[in-house]
Amino acid sequence: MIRTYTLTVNGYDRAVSIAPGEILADVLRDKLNLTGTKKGCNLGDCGACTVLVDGEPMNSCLLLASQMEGKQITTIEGVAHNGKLAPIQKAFVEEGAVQCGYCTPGMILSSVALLEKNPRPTVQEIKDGLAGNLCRCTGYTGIIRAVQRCENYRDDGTCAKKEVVAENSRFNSITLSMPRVDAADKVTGRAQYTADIARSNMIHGKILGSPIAHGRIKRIDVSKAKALPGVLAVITGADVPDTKYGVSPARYDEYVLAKDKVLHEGDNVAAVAAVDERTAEKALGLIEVEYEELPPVLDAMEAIAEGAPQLHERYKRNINTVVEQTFGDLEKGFADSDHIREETFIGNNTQQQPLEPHAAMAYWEYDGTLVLYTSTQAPHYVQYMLAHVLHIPLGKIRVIRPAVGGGFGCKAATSPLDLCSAILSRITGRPVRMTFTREQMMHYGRGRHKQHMKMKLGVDRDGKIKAFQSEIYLDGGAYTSFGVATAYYAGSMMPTLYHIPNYQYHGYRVMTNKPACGAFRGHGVPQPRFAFELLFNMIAEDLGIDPIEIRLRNSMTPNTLTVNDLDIKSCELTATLLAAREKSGWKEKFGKLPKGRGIGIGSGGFVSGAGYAIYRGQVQLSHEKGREPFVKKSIFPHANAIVKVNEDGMAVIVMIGAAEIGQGGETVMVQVAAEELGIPPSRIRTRCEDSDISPIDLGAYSSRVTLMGGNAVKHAATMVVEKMKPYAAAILGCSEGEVKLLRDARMVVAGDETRSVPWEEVARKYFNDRGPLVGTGCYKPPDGLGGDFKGGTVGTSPAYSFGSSVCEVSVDLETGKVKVERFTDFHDCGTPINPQMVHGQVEGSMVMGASETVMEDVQFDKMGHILNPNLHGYLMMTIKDAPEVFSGIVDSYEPEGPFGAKEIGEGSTCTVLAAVAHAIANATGVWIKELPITPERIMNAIHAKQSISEVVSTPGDD
Amino acid sequence: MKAFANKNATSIREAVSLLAQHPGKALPIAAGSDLLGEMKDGIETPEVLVNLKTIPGLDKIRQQSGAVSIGPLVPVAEVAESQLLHTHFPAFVEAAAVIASPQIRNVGTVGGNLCQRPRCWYYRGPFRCLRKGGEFCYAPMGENRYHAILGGGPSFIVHPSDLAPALIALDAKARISGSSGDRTIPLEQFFVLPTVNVQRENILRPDEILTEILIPLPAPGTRSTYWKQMERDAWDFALVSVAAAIRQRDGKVEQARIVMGGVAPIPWRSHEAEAALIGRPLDATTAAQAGDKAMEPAQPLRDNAYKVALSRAIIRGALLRLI
Ligand SMILES: Cc1cc2nc3c(=O)[nH]c(=O)nc-3n(C[C@H](O)[C@H](O)[C@H](O)COP(=O)(O)OP(=O)(O)OC[C@H]3O[C@@H](n4cnc5c(N)ncnc54)[C@H](O)[C@@H]3O)c2cc1C
Ligand code: FES
Ligand code: FES
Repeated sequence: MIRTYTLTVNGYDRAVSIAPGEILADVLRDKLNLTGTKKGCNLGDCGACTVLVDGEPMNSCLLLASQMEGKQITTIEGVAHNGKLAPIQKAFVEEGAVQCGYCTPGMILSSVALLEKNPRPTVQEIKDGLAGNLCRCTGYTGIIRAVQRCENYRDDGTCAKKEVVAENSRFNSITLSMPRVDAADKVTGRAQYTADIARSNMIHGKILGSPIAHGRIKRIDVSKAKALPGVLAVITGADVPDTKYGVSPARYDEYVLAKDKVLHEGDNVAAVAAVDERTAEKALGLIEVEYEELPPVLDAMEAIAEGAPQLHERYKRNINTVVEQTFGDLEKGFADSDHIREETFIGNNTQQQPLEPHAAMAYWEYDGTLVLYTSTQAPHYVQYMLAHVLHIPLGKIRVIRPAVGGGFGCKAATSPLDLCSAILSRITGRPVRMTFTREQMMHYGRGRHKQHMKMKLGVDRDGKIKAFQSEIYLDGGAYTSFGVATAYYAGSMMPTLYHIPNYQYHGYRVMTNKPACGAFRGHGVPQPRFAFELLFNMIAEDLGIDPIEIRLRNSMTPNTLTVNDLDIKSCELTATLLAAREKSGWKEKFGKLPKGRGIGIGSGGFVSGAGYAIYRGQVQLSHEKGREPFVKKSIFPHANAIVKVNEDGMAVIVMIGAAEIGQGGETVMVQVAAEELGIPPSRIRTRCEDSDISPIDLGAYSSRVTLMGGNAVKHAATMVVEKMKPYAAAILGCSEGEVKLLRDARMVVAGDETRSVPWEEVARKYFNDRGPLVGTGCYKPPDGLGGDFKGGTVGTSPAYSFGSSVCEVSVDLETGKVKVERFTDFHDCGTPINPQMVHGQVEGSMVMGASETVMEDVQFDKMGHILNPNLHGYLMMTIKDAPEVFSGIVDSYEPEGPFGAKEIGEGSTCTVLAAVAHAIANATGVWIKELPITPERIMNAIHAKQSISEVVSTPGDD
Repeated sequence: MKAFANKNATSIREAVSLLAQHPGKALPIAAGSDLLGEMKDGIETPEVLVNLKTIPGLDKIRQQSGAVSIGPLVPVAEVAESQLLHTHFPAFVEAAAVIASPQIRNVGTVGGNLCQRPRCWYYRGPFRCLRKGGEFCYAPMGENRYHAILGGGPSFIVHPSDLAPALIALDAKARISGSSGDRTIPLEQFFVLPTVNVQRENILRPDEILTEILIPLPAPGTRSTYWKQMERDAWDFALVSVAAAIRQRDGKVEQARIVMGGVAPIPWRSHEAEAALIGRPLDATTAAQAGDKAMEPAQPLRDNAYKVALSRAIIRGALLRLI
């Protein structure tokens, strides 16, 4: 029975009608329009929904709204007063505690409650107080810093901290640790994510997933669901286009909804749209589906066997991608080696699980334009894919990317929500919003491929690499997604860190009845990098060479063409190794720590943007079906920007489709524009979210935004300055060539800076004479990247990042419990546009990577059901698990990057797995070659070693 | 979540009579942190929820002569922060402090914690397992790294509560009220093995609720502690845990209660471990022996033998804290 209750929210009484069973989080969001309260799991597992009830933090997803009468409820919207940020909010903004911002409201409320009781908490007390809020982005480091330093921030929003200035005095806005441009919105709950956006007359869609991992759909009956009052549309495979989609054009193999077969648990079977979520959910339960169950195959090694169940007809023996590459003379390389070691490593199936679940909201304009709001990393590819599947021109599709609560790769492809919401909206004529539950995110997958990696490394007696052979089986799950590229990346990136003269890579991506795997931070590289680095450490041990020393002897040097034709320009790997060795106290620790404590090293690196777009050919022809032939250059610019100066000259709008997903891309664009325009960043705003406003940028994947987007913005800004110069010259009474742009918003006569004119005055003059002052810019990767062999394009990039991490752990040898204590990381990311954000990426990577190494794994039963499709079963590090991180940046300048910048977000993940695994081996005396390194595996390994050494105790063994 | 009717009970009597009026269709709800999760996942589908939160007086911690009384609606956080409880019952407070997250400790209640349902992934997933009225338990032939090593069969869940082992080690009693009257029993007898009831973890009848926990003040010389081994440092159910309460006199153990969590379908009291300690000094040797003895009856499944070694280690570790 629905009843009216009075809830006291943020100090005001609000009358709300509430049905039994309505959850506080939903009432706050849907009925009181307080969407700052986020939902990340709906089960008490993430803390995003935290509100204060009588001053105590609680999960609003676990509270019955009907039990809340008479209690004081505080949401994030109640923390700031009269438009002024509270000190804790200001501290979050300034101290780099915010990235995607999805955990932020909950974090801040928990911090408020903590600081209320304990204004000066220790780090341990902060960790205890915030242990119920997961953050997937920051590694918690910035958050701890913000809470610790909160007392420096006063009620009026000012702070006792000193002014931030550019670290490199050559610049004004580059190397400047300014706060993110979106931070204030994110700490107040104002930032709108897709699920927060409602339109009038909007309805709600939901997808029905397959309960089995492999089967044929024999019959679907939707009549009961359709008959349910409040249901407006029900669709199945029969109602969606016959066009398959995916990511790699050569392997489009997904239907919007299954037409015939389901290939993994949760595979999309039907979708409904109804007046509210409850009705939609109820309708799903009324859809009758009869399946002919087929035996599932869940293991890559079993799937390739003759006679194994087949998923797709076109992938014989379930082999989806084959890569067979040999460079140099492998046989000779091994023959020349003094020491060869071969080992097999096994990775884990980890998933990104950003705090914000995928969401989409679609509606159609009367002129036939589709408008889609979506939580995506790559708005352009979504637009492209919608054009492809729905058979409409790209120009008829407007994609809007609201704030995105993290992606790490799982939001880089078009999701079924994007397509289903568009289709359901077309049928019903109403806006349709859809979100995934956490469980659906797990079923949708697109996480890291579990890789079986057989590696053989040959070195001479000094440890110099002679030959390297790698054979990898990637467990791809049920669809291709990004997997073709993954299979290539797993091989192509190996020769970028060290000089490898002879190299063979065989990669096989195999289909199994599990959620499709895709591109997860470091795309394809972290696991083979883990395996290689660990093998390298084993070899160092065999030869009695220090593991950092062996790296130094092989370290990549600038301006090298690798054996597989990757063109490396700037490279400071050696500097990162030396700095990490020095700062971590490696020499005093390695080999000298007591039992149970360990130290380890891993290096890594990544591309700064892919050399080629995901599809061939021209953007304009996206809705046409043919594939254009490949040419070794970019057909169209990968990043495009418009810089528009406001009519009064006081503001500049940067328009570029680059996706802000928490990594800080928009802030980087502002800083680049500010530097190039010679004005302060505070005068610049971005419009990145709307494809109607901003020109194409391919998106936030392969770490491309800073380099490619930055270059496009820089060029657009240059054009603006060039257009201003004649006007400045006229005002200053000098020649155009004499006009000089200063970095403090002035133009002067070169050689006589007393003759100056304010920047805005020149801009006004331009507008008055010529109309809009606009510059455009674009970026194409250099032509001809990559070798002339199959797959030679994957791994190409305008620039490469490098880094080294030292990890320290303690391991309880009785229980196998690992405590990852500390990372000392140094990276070569080129010029750091915003050092604080660089450190934020590193801190986040270290914790995410450590979490993947020691606890994360999607677990399946024999029938292909995920057994831990939630965040209490799929464990990710909490603030209490998170190690300390020291992040350092080495001097480096990348000629191809804007102001010398490269990437940081993904390369920093690649170092971590090996560093942790090496440290654990160092602490326990056993090499564990399978991820994740759980207490169970450690105990089993220690016991196995003990029982072996009991039988054969070799002399000299300790 | 399926629709249901909410009934606010204003007294224990009303609560039990409401439950009795809807046999098999009504469930008591305290804060709902466990129950709502089950309802969202469609595991429980009650037609009526009897709200206990509206019963006055059940959320108090009271010192009585010789015992402390804990109301079932006391939030877990209050236990974790209580000075009174800390003085007398360290194991209880230590257990409360490592439950879930600060938020869930603020929401969840002591009674709800003791009556919470298993976390077995088959039980919580889309599997019609024995505990949900199905034909068999999926664990023995399935993925069983988190399942029972003791007391298993025919169902192999482990009891998820952290408070229960601590309270049993402290010899707590439970007061149960039902439409046919009240009874007070040792908390140890509250929990039942699957051989007794494969669908429930405790002896409560559908019209009964837990109305009080009584913990006797420990005799002088008693020390207690709780050790929880998790895969993650917070917000994780126990892989294995142990509560130990030891009374020593003249350098010898006079009384010992060792109760484990995460190893059996009920909080598992190890009489073997206790016997290994009684009459002997508590030291590294006896502590290790207690761990070994406790694990003698263990019957691990395919993937959970590591829990045996883990249990030995933490029993020893917990006992060493009490020297
Ligand atoms: C994400 C998460 C993590 C958790 N981690 C842990 C953990 O690490 N350790 C741990 O011990 N617990 C853990 N829990 C369980 C948590 O402690 C319980 O959910 C909480 O204590 C239950 O209290 P409640 O008042 O919300 O109970 P409810 O959800 O209201 O009730 C739980 C069950 O008990 C019954 N019930 C409640 N009160 C009574 C009563 N007085 N008499 C009879 N039956 C009753 C209900 O019918 C229901 O079946 C976790 C829970 C969540 C959601
Ligand atoms: S949404 Fe409530 S804890 Fe995740
Ligand atoms: S900033 Fe914490 S989850 Fe993204």
